[in-house]
Amino acid sequence: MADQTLLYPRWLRLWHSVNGILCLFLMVTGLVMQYASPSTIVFSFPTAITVHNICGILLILNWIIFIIANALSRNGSYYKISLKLIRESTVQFRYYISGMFKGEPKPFKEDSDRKFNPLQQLTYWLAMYVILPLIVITGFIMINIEQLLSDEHGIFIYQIADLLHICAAFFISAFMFIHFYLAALDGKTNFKKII
Amino acid sequence: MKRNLLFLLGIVFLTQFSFSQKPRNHPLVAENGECLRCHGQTVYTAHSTDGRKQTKRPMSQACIIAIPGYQKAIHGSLKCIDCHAEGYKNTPHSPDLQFESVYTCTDCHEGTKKFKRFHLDSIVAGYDKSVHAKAMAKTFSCWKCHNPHTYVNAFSDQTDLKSAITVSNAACLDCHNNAVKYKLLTNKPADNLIKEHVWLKHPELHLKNIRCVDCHAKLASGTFTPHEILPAQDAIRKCTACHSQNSILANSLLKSDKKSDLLGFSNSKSLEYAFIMGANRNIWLNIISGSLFALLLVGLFIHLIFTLRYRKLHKNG
Ligand code: HEC
Ligand code: HEC
Ligand code: HEC
Ligand code: HEC
Ligand code: HEC
Ligand code: HEC
Ligand code: HEC
Ligand code: HEM
Ligand code: HEM
Repeated sequence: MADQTLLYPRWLRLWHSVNGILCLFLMVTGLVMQYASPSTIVFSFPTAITVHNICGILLILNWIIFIIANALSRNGSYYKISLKLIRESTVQFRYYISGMFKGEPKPFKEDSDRKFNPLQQLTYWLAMYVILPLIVITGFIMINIEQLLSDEHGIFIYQIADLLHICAAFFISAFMFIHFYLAALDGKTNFKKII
Repeated sequence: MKRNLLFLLGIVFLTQFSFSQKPRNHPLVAENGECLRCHGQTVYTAHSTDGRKQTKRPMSQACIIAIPGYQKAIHGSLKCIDCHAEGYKNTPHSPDLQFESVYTCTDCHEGTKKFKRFHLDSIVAGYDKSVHAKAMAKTFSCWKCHNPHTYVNAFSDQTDLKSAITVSNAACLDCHNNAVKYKLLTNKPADNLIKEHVWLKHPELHLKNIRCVDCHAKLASGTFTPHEILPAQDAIRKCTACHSQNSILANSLLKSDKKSDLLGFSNSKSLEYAFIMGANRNIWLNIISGSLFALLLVGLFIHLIFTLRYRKLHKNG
């Protein structure tokens, strides 16, 4: 097994913790906003908006840090995707739903050349380079609603941004549940390396 | 572009208010030319009593009647002296005319068939209980909000909801944002409206996109425009009154026959000009995302059970 502190350097662990906490807050407050009703109890509506806006801006900064750090460091090399990955992902998927119950070995070895299994590689790439950008950009658009609405087509852009934002929010939430579950399958040590 | 995309989205607006396509534009009433010679301009020519000397004088701002505005107004087909005393034909006007009693809306409109749809009774009853009528019984009147010379109806004279809101709010802002008009009625200093509403997070956005009366007036039967303005402390301040699926706006501004349209947006009428989070929820997206999430959790749970069972067997065997 490769050296964990090399594969998961301090900046990455710090980034990931911040990212996870922010996403958690954003999910909860986002739900309160979406399902706002006079009887919502978790957060009041105006609090939810304030928290969501602050966490949203922090998430944007955090995401930018990740993109820059990945571009500059070795960590970026684990986020290269190719068509081959899709086929390999199905192999990994088959392992998760049947292979592992038959005691088969993991189909792909994880080492310093291949930090993630193909399924991880694909979903992490999707999460960080597709869904999060979408959420961050649409969120940024919506946070500037006042400037936007001075334009004639502003409200239409806003509506589209909102729908995309909600859809992306759904995917990232689903990702988080699966991600957490699969990480937990590998036991406690797996969490230690990222915290 | 915008229209096509909206069409693609298939957003169906069930507009219940009948927005007329063409704005009114009355031809100039000939008799009014005599008055507008002076009142239609910023400067008029005054004559000495014997008529021999003349000089140019500025017309005071409040007495200037913008001619295009008058022609577009509901009452633009009326002669000035339908409402004003005949005595105004003489210039300079007699000071006594300042005390002329003006007609009220009901003098001309009460009981007429054409006017039935406005539910005047409900409006007048609401107005009588309003803060304005109570605090300024002698000086306030329907005319203060319905400018006699420029009044247009928010819903039948506008082409879309957004401008209906603008027109509607102009009635209030024209005074609450106008120190001169405000001072004519009270000695209280005028409020800074934006400051009074900062708690709304986006005060300007809200003041532009909801009618003042939606928060400040008590809902009345029969009319979309409730007239009973309540004291400020009784105004709506709970965000979720509007930002929720059964938004109060559904009973007034966004009133429509259906709760949601084909594509499943609740309170969809507002999509024409706004997106009200919480109120413009998409029922289909809610159902689909909710079910998928439930499915996902069930899937993970089953996987967990299999895993635990496998691990137990493995350990024992
Ligand atoms: C020669 C110019 C002139 C003509 C013509 C004229 N007015 Fe005036 N009018 C004035 C002036 C000047 C005032 C005073 C404005 C001020 O207060 O500064 C005035 C004031 C008024 C006022 C407000 C009175 C008050 O103080 O409350 C009314 C109402 C009015 N005019 C109606 C009419 C009508 C109706 C006609 C046509 C039948 C008419 N005027 C024709 C010059 C004119
Ligand atoms: C539908 C009735 C109506 C018609 C038509 C009408 N007025 Fe008036 N006008 C009023 C009323 C009512 C007031 C008093 C407004 C108030 O008290 O706030 C008024 C006020 C005025 C004033 C004084 C401005 C002020 O703020 O006190 C002038 C000047 C005036 N009218 C001129 C005219 C002229 C000129 C015409 C014709 C072009 C005309 N009006 C047509 C109802 C009418
Ligand atoms: C001097 C009589 C008179 C007074 C006072 C008067 N109106 Fe009118 N109003 C009319 C006439 C006449 C019409 C029709 C105008 C036309 O069709 O060109 C009319 C039309 C209207 C309409 C349009 C009706 C429709 O079917 O579209 C509205 C709304 C209206 N008035 C509201 C008011 C209000 C509100 C007031 C008081 C602030 C008022 N009126 C005072 C004479 C009056
Ligand atoms: C505090 C301001 C205010 C006062 C005072 C007021 N109104 Fe209104 N009224 C409005 C506003 C705002 C609207 C909606 C915008 C519009 O149609 O101009 C409205 C609309 C109306 C309408 C049209 C309703 C419709 O369904 O389109 C009528 C009729 C009317 N008012 C009559 C009256 C009468 C009669 C009085 C006096 C008893 C009166 N108003 C006093 C503010 C006021
Ligand atoms: C012609 C001027 C004028 C117009 C038009 C007007 N107001 Fe007012 N309004 C006043 C004045 C003056 C007061 C202060 C009354 C007092 O308490 O002495 C007032 C008071 C109020 C208050 C009560 C404040 C408190 O202390 O409780 C509210 C709310 C209000 N207005 C809302 C509105 C709305 C909403 C509209 C439009 C539909 C409107 N006003 C139109 C002049 C106006
Ligand atoms: C979202 C609901 C909402 C809307 C929309 C709204 N208001 Fe208010 N407004 C309030 C509340 C609540 C208060 C009381 C604020 C306080 O007491 O701190 C208030 C306060 C006021 C006051 C101050 C009264 C005072 O205490 O001096 C005035 C005047 C007023 N509003 C007028 C308007 C006008 C005019 C509009 C439309 C342009 C408008 N409001 C739109 C909810 C609203
Ligand atoms: C009387 C109804 C009403 C009340 C009360 C109200 N809002 Fe709104 N709000 C609206 C409407 C309508 C819009 C849509 C504006 C647009 O998109 O053009 C809006 C828009 C917003 C937006 C912009 C994002 C969006 O949904 O489009 C925020 C944020 C917001 N409101 C927060 C609040 C908060 C916080 C409160 C309570 C302090 C509040 N609102 C109370 C009607 C209301
Ligand atoms: C994990 C990340 C995020 C999740 C799960 C999430 C979720 C949500 C949800 C569910 C809504 C409610 C939408 C509605 O009902 O209309 C919402 C609204 C909003 N989000 Fe996010 N969000 C996230 C990130 C962000 C980011 C990064 C920003 C940028 C600053 C942001 C800004 C906003 C804004 C401004 C709104 C208000 C939208 C409106 O007015 O309708 N969000 N978010
Ligand atoms: C939506 C929020 C989250 C996102 C976007 C996210 C994203 C990521 C990414 C991109 C990686 C790979 C990092 C790298 O090595 O380059 C990762 C690893 C990891 N994450 Fe998350 N994460 C989130 C939330 C969480 C949460 C809540 C937990 C649980 C506490 C968690 C646990 C882990 C673990 C244990 C790893 C390392 C295991 C592995 O290599 O797969 N994550 N995460």
